[in-house]
Amino acid sequence: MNIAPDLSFSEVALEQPARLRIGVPRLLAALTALTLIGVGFGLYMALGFAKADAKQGEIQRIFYIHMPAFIGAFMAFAATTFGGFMYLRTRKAKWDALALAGVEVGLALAAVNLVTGMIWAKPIWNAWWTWDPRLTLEAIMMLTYAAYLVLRASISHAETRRRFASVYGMLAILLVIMVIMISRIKPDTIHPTVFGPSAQQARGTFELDASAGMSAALGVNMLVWAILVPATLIWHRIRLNNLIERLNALKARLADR
Amino acid sequence: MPQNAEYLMLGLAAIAAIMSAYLISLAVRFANVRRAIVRAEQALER
Repeated sequence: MNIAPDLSFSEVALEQPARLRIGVPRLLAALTALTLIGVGFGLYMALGFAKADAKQGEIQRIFYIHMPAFIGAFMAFAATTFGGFMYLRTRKAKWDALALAGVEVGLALAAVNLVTGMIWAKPIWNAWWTWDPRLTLEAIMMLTYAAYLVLRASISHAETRRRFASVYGMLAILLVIMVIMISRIKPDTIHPTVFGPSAQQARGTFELDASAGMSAALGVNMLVWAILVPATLIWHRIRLNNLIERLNALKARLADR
Repeated sequence: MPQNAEYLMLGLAAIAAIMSAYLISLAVRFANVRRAIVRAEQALER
């Protein structure tokens, strides 16, 4: 088996699949280890370090992953938008790989956000689900990004698939921005906002008490779930894409013989 | 203070389930592609 020597980040993650070695690059292995340690430390901060909210009790601790997971999904979907834009500019497949990775990772993190929100809602709103504008928009957002994967799977010509997916991925970010903005512009939402005033009908608001360790727990988990987790998973997913490209090239060579 | 730790446990279990499902799907795809690459390279060497 051909194993290339150590390559730089851009060479390994984004460049020629034919030169990609099969093993995990050292930098990615270190980032993965850091992320795992970060997830563990974040859990300690959320469950052990921060004090429980006086009004909501233990369930409020889910917030330390619920909100950062959404920001992580936003980062991943922003990577999709950036990847799509760069692909349309340069026509280099590596940017399309970034866009696809962003959608997969963003969907996983958005699912974490949505499901933890539902579980938090049950004791606080007395319902697993309500057709609140923000919840509904987030469900639509997830379906829109799931449709991105369906769209890709339905187009066999690689160049056409990449072009369509790039435009779709760039437009879909508008829904993510709407999910963020809707609680501030629709007065009938019951979903509270963390920063800035919540709507009058918001249920389940709480104060981020720095002296109770809440700000520190949020800060650590924000670093982990909004930056480390999406970055690590996106890098792994790009490597998978590069390996698939390499396999396709090998198959083409075999077919030519 | 309301006692609702069971919902917190349910939330943590859901997070673990979602992230594990994605990681397993990645690992399975990696394993399949790696195996196919090795086979294709061996076929080319022959």
